[in-house]
Amino acid sequence: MARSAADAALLLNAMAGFDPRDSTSIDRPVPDYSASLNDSLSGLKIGLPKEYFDPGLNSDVEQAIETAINEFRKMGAEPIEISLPNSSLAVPTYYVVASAECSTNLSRFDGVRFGHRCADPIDLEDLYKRSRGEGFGAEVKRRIMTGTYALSAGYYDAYYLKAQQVRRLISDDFRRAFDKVDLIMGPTTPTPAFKLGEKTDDPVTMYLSDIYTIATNLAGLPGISLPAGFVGGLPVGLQIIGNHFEEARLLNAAHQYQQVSGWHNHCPETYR
Amino acid sequence: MQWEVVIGLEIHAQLATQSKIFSAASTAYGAAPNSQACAVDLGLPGVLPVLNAEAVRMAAKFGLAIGATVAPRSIFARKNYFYPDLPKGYQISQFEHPVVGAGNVEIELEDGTRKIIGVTRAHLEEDAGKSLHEDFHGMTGIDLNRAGTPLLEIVSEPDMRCAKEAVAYMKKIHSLVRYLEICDGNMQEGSFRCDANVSVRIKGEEKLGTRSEIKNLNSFRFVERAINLEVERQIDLLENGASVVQETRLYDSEKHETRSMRSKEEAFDYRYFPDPDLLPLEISDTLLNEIRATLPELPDAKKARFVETYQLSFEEANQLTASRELAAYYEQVVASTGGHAKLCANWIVGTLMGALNKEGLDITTSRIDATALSSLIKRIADNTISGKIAKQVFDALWDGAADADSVIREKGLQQITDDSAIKAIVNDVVSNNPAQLEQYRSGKEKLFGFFVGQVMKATQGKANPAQVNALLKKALSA
Repeated sequence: MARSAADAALLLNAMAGFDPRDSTSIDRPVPDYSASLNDSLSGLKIGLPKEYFDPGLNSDVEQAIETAINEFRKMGAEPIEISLPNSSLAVPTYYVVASAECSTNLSRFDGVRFGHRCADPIDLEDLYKRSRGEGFGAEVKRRIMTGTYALSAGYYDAYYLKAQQVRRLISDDFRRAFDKVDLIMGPTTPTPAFKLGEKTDDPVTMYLSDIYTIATNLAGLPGISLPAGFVGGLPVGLQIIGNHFEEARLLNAAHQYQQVSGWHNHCPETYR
Repeated sequence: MQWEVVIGLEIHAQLATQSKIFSAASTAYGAAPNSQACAVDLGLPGVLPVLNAEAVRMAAKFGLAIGATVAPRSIFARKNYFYPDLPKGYQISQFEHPVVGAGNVEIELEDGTRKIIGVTRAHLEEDAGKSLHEDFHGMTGIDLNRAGTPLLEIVSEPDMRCAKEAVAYMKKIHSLVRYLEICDGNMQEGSFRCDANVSVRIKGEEKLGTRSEIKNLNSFRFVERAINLEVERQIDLLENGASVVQETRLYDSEKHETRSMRSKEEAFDYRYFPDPDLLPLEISDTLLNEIRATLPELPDAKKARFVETYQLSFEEANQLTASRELAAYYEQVVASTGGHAKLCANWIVGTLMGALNKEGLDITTSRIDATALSSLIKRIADNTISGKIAKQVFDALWDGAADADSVIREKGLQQITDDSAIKAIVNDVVSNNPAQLEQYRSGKEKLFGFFVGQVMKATQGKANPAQVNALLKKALSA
């Protein structure tokens, strides 16, 4: 999205604010995100969720993240171990909620007004089936089917409703954590990037790469991922999560890190 | 075998807002196809719904009017199904948490019996577009002007026991939404329509029979006919050892039959879930009180007041309060005639309504306005004209005369009340009919009517009847 935290702040300045045509947007003043980029991090409490540093985490990635956390320590921040006990539920919860919403959000691509229309439909049902069958790719179809199932009569309570309840628990984990800390940090993914096409046959493993980041979306929190080094020539990301409406503090911490680390200006060797 | 019919209605009332429930497009009826459908109504990818506050106020008004709880928090849900005139592939409606909870209304049947009918709930939703099958050879046209029009779906309890009760209930709700000015009630344009759930069971049985749902009934007459047909069909099935299947049926008013649309097995799984694009709808006590303060006098209260204040019969009050406009017309006539309440009621219910019905008009399109009718009633009340002559004046007003006085003057219809003038005519009549006089005097008192007739004929009906009677009696017995 941006080359640096400072650029991201500029971008957010342009984008943030109330949208009267979006019922879910909140009408509240927008700060100047660039203005606080150089604030001191002295005394900043950083939460390190123990669930994000579990055995599933690649040790080289862990090493890179610890080095990055150390930079924050040097700048006067205070890392504290915290717990987000429902972290392991984030991926299944997300794939129920997001797939359910996606299954109905994509209903409008039915070949009548929007999306691909099949050739020579014999009737309405044929139009729907072939237009959607031909137009959507495998991953989209998978999500539409998962989501349709999760919302079906007899399964709604067990899947969609349950997932929304777990979503609340995940959100509560963060609420409690932010009573104690200002920001939360950890790895963006458990391993460096996998190869193109490597996991397409095993979507669940692929989905699990999102295990550290997806909870942020479910809880509606701002998060940022920053380059924090390389493992085997592949970039490693440091993730910072802030409380609701704390984008300024998030960008401030990210910018300060980029003043001392310089990883954001490095290029992977293969691309040099 | 004695069968009991059980009916519940789902009424769809189009709310009379200027713009749509989730967009700023106009809701006006009859525009060129697709000229009143904006990006939101078309379901363009990326657009979002924003709730119309006026639609919420109207729903709340209805809730207050039927004594229901207006939910402090209600939820919009997506009802998912594929149909060409449903551009998003889902309808935004309310499911588990509707804006209006349980309430009730009182209906009155032709024989005067009254009955309370429960309203289970009422919820807000958007209407779909229209599929047009005519004019497109082998194709279907889609008009999305109606898409996004706000609807209030009013769901009744299965409290009705015959088609007439269902019609009375539907009329009651119709009158209510028009009093509240939340729906124009125009059934031809589809602003007010209903689905009927019908089942039968053996009288005394607790358990409800298997029901069928008859879709999209858009006139009171169709509701009555469709229900009666369906009841006959179900009883016929059951008495012949067959069973009723749960299904959705369509009423064909031309063929006068109902036929199956889809069975329970073919029924859609709508996959309702809370719409993530909309926040829960919250209605504060402050807002609710503000809305309560805008409630007009409702039909039942107005009826009671008419009986009390104007000394009308229940039936008269009932007819005069059938619509807010008619009630206002009546009160205007009463006020400008200086309070001949009963006489005004007689003329409106008897003569005016008859004339309106004959030409398919209603009070808002009446050819005699309240001022003109008052001018007539004033002249009846002060004895300027008799009731019989008044009908002639009424007809002249109906045909466009401006007021009663000018008609009376031009046509010389003024009543003769001068005793000596009437006496002279009476004496003439008596002396010109000696044979009848003799018969009368010898006991054939029926002939009194003949003499009255002769006097009236001589005065073209203008002599004051009471005076004629008195003077004739005197002359005949002299």
